[in-house]
Amino acid sequence: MAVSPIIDKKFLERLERLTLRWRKSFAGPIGGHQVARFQGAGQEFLDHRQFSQGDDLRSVNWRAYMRLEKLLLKVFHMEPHIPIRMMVDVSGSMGVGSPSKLEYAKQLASALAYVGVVRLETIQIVPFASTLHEEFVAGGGRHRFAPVVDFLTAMKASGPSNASQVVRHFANRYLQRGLLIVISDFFDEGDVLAEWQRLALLGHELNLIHLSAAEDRNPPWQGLLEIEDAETGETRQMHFDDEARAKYTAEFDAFYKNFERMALRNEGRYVFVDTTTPLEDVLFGALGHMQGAAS
Amino acid sequence: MEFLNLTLFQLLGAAGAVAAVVVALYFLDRKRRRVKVSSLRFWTETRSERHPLPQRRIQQPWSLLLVLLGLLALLAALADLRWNANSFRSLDHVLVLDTSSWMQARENGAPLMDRAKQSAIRYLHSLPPGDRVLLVLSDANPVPSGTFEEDLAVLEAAITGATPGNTALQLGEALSFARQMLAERDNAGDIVFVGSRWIAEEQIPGVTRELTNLRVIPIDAQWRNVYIDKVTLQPRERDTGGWTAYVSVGNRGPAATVPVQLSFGSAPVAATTLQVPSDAVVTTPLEFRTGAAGWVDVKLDVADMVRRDNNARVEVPRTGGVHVQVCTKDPKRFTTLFQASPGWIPTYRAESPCSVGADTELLVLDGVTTPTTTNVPTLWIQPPDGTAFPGRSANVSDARVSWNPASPISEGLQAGELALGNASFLTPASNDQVIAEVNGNALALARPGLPPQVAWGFNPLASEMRFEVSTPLLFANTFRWLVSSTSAPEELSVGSAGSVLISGMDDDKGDAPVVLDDSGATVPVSRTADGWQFFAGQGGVYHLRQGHRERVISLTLPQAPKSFWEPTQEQMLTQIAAASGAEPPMHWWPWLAALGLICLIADALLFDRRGQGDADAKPASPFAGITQTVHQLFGREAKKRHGI
Repeated sequence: MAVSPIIDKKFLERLERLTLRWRKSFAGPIGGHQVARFQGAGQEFLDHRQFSQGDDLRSVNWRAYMRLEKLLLKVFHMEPHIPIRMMVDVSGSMGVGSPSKLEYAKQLASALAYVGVVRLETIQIVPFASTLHEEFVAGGGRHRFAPVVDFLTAMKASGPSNASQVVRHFANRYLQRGLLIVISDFFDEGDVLAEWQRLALLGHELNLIHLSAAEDRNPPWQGLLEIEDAETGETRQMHFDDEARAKYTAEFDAFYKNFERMALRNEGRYVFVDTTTPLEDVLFGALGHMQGAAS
Repeated sequence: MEFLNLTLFQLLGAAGAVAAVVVALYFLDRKRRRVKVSSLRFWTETRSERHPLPQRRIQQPWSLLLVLLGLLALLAALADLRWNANSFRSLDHVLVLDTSSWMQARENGAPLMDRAKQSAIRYLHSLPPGDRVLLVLSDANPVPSGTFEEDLAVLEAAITGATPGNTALQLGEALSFARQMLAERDNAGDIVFVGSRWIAEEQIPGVTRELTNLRVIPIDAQWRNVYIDKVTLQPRERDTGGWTAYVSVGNRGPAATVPVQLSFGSAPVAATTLQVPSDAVVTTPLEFRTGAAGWVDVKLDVADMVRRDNNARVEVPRTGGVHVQVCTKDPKRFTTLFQASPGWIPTYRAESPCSVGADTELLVLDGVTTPTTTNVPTLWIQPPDGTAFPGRSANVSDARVSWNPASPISEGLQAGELALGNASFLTPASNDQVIAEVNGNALALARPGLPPQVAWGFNPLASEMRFEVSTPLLFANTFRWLVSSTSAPEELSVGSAGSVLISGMDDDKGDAPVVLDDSGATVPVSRTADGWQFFAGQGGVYHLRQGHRERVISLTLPQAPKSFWEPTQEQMLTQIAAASGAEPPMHWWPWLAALGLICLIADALLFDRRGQGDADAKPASPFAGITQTVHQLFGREAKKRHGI
């Protein structure tokens, strides 16, 4: 049954209880809603320090001066405006499954975008396949959510993946570090793990949502198969039996375990989502438990 | 019921071919399944290298076994597999039941046909179980009542419904047909004839001696039958209304004295008594007169075995002559002509325009016309101006007149120089036929239609042509063409259905006479050494036409046989044996067909390969599959689906 990208009203009301959080402290222009570990203009008290020439007199703790006759300056946590970027894989492999992984990704992305929009965050939705597509910037409150849905609905799965090129383009296009949510099946040729790790090394906080159709992990077929790559169209004939299936699943599990380790090692987050899992369970379960993107 | 009835080798061969095809299809079906996956990343190191030809390996042997078993069971059902069938080798017989005209005979009040039916049914019950019989009802034509049948009830119903026909038995055709039917069977049995042995052939057919499997169940009787063989009515020449009826009476029995009565319109008009010897045909003429149309009945006042051939009926047309009105200013010219032909009754009128009398059947207008258009066939002689036949005057003296050979009006006339004197060349209309012409100028025209009209541009009675022999012939041909519907046939006869020989109707050209039945349909006519012949399978009135000549044959009499067939003692089957009582081998085909269907349905249910179902859910064996199917149908999953 096809999954509608439109989220119903009750579900949206439940989403308003969530918020997008990140662990890292990013520098950025003032105006955000989450404190950073850096000092700066903010409302949350951080520390006192000696007054020095040029400091803002409005920050002097006058009570302490009257008691101690020393000019002490109050220092606050900085609350920078951090960009939230959500990369959605629209390569051909996302069209596999029933419902397809892309349909599921659309729902998930729209739900996360709604959480951010409601909190007056600015969400940049960036589709990608072999390269980065045109982004869509959402922000400014819940009344700006409808264009997000329209943008996500128009996305179609096609073309091959090229993580290396995508990462390179991303690094060149977005210089300011921030929260990066990647919704993908991460199927690509080559060492895609290292490519995605480059983004973490550049300072972005990686939140990897690994989508997997049921047949991606446990192929249901048996016997002689002519398998076709959904992205490249390449075909291959092989005999598939229970033994081969077990080996396949083991390799697949090792594949996503590597992603999980990479994300955690780089202060990021990782969640594996089977597309047969209800979206509500993912948002209020897996994503919340890991203290990840939505909590 | 009958199926392929394959032999063991044929069955094994067919089974082998089917199994080979199934196995080939099995491998082809499982050769490969095309699936689309997200990535080939994890599909590289599987067992494909260890099984370079995996399609040669049977993956679902239970499915293959089920399909093979199902198809073999269906094939065995089609082959009509029987247990212990060799000891019960069934035979195919042909039962020829005589339904000829003389099977209408009654002896002591009991119809011979009923005795024949009883004998035929007794013979059927004497056959071993499993034997098949083809029933052939035979008179002049052998007609099978169906196919080779094993069911006695069906055969008895067909025998009971048989009725005798109007034609005599053509024994040679019946036995040849039976032999041909058995020649196509592997288990040929007997040809059994049940009947009176009176046949239409004059000579006993040779096929009776050639058949070694011929058995005869005779229906004997003390034959005593006098019959009307033929009745022929001919109009007497120069005696208008006079008829002579030639009645031929035959006798199949002891010599008899036969009163013959001829009546017209239920009134006796002639009678005589004939002495008819045994196996002879006697013909007697009976004369009567009538000018009116009606039915002539011939009756033999005897009580014999076949009643239907003691009466004959034929319809005679009116023969009182044709009323001809001649409109002429010189009636004397025509007087001699009509005095020579008593069939034409003339009346003369001299006024112009000439009014037509109410009883006029033919109008002759000699240089005059009528005040109004008439519906009477008309002969125009030198039609005046303003009529339907315009012309221009000409003097035809010693001119060569050509007659149209295709027209019946000019039949018997030959081209020659005639002194016609003053004549008119006529202008033909689009549908006119030119009868005579002089140098391309029409001199005589025939205009078919209602009424038919003929126009002569000359007057043969007013010119030198009146001395020609051809002049009366021209008048006769013209009158006959104009009033052909009112002319009497030259002969009426009553005969019997079957093959009818036409004698004395040959013409110079050798064309076949036209034979029309009651409905006006043409009956095929064939040429034989004795003359033209046609076959009338059903009784009725047939018209034979050859040019202007016509005969009417009323084929209402049953055809009388011509000879009696005496089979050999070996062929006679006077004692019909009782049935053997052995049980026939049991038919297994319903059970085999059911088994085959069950196997195929089980394969379809348990190993359905149409969908992309979960391979783990596929059962490893039919027994596991049955358990799973039952569980799905009645277990928890079914309850969940139904909200229980």
